[in-house]
Amino acid sequence: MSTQIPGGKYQRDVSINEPGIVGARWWNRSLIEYDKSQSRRKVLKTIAIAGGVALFVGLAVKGIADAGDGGDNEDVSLALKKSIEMQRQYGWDFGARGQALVYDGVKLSPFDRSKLADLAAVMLPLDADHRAFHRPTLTESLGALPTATLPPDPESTTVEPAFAPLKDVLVPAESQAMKAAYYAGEALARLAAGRETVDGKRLGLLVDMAGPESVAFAAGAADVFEPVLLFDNWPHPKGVVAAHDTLAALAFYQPRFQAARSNVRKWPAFVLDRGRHATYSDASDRFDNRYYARFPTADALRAKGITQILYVVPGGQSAPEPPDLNVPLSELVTDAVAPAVGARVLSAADFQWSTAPPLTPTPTPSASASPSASAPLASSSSPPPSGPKSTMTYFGGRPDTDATIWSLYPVFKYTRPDGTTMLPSTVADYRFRRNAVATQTEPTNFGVVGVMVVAGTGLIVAAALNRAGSMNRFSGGWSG
Amino acid sequence: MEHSVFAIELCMRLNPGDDARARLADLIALHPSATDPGTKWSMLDECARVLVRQKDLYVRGCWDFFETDAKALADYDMWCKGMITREGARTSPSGAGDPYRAEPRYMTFTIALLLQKGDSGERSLASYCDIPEAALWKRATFVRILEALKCVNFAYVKSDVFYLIPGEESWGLTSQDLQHKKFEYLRLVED
Repeated sequence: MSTQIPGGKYQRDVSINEPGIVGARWWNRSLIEYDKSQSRRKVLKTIAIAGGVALFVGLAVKGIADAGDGGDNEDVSLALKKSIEMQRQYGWDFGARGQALVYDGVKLSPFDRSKLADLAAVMLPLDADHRAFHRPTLTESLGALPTATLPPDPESTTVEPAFAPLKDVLVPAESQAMKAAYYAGEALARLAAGRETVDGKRLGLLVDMAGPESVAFAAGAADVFEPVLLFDNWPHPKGVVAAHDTLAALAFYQPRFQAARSNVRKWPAFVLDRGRHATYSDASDRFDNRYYARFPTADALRAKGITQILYVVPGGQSAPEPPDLNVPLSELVTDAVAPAVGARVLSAADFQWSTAPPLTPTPTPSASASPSASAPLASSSSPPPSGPKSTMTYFGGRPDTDATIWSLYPVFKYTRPDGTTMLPSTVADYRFRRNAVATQTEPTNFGVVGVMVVAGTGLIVAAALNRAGSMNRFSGGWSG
Repeated sequence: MEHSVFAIELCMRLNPGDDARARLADLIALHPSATDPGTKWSMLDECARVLVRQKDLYVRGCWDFFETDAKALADYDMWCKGMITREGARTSPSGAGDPYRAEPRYMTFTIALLLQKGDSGERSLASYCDIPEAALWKRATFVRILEALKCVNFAYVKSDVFYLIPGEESWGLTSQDLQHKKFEYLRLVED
């Protein structure tokens, strides 16, 4: 046996050097070569012929090619791995190295790229109760470096581009929809500032619009509501969810979020991307970075004194809530203790611009008032983002409807002023009801990516995003 | 190719000023990305020597040797995941602790080898690991096995993984950390 195997070349494929752990894994390339099957190409051909989504659901193609190939009986299998784990190991652009991100918004320049390194810290809530719910996943992606490398494609004639961290390629971006969302958030904060909730406890927002618009809404509301990010994926050039647009929006509003940081206690604004459940059909071409929201359970919210949630959606057509939010929101309603309302839907589209002056001066909370659980203070007055500001954004689009918001949403102690007009709304009347099949548990086929694995060893040699590329990769084993 | 797997993990007291942790960290972090069997053997040998010198500090540990192919492959993958997912690592510093006031800190060191079954070195290791049940978790057994790693021939090691928790001294594991269910597999070391 010894004479069959050369002395051995070892190659490290995983290296971790962090405060919590130091580790590395090496593979004996000579043994892998010795062990490899001649049938890899055939396995991949079989995969290519089968193709499509069905192949990827619970699939582990293993040893397909043992027939008719003269004796080799392994070696490549297709396995499903969690997308985020693959990105953490092999880089945010796993399987698509060097491919550009395409933005939905307008790229803005110049900007200080070095500031992006601070974004994760800027978005970390100051309030310890909020921090417990915060998901740093998306902001962590900016500076993350791969801890492992895929083996080189032995048949490729091109040199794969070097890895570039997201913070070196991301560009802040703003869209018209973001501007509107920003002013809607700002208007809501103006209306909520200094008020006391009906049960003396805490109010939370759950902003569930397209990622960039959710970010913009949270930026507008940031003087009164502290953002608590629930984005739980990383951007990818072929991502099903355009997480890079969300990250670009966070980068755009970074100065605003920085300016709004304050030790004055605020209510939480949980921020989600409604595109997290986007549908797609071609598993071989797209990277599944979808996720289920880890929104706190009703009990966890109550444990932090949060008894009411305003669920902010883009428009009246957006209810009902996605399945990952049904359970906590319906339980908040079911178990609400009057006069708290539990949870209600609020449409960002109900906030519209107008040139009419306000009915009463905008309330200015006292900066000297002591902070309490029920009455956060708007103490910061950081500048708004770029855009026209000669108009005022009102709930209902008019000053007389603006003052009625807390009649429609009775979360605060509030008496409706005379001469005001209630806004007929389609979403305020919506009531969350428990859907028997809804769950907060992520389906197993969510957020997964196909990878090529050397059978039995666990060694990942390629992403299965692109069949043509994978075909090449599996034809000849290792290169020197 | 049929495989067998060898793995050992030791949990030791992490005493302030003891340079063993830093030495083990360097052995992993400074080992070349591209290497050869001889250099790998030297690394394993030096790791084993450092661990043997720490024998009085062993608190908990476990070791495995399985020679069933499927079990070997699955177990090796499991040991690798322990590193890749950072399962045992803390996510925040634990501070220096106070070893004199019942606030000790701990480190773990793990070695796993995916071996080609049938090689003479692999067979030797298998025989060293044939330990009577009553002695499985004895301190002396851990030392004996570490010393037996000299027989490994890296020309027939398909893959190896080494990892150390913590990477920095102030991130050491606490007694409370070790109570967590994820460390249940570590047995108390017996004298």
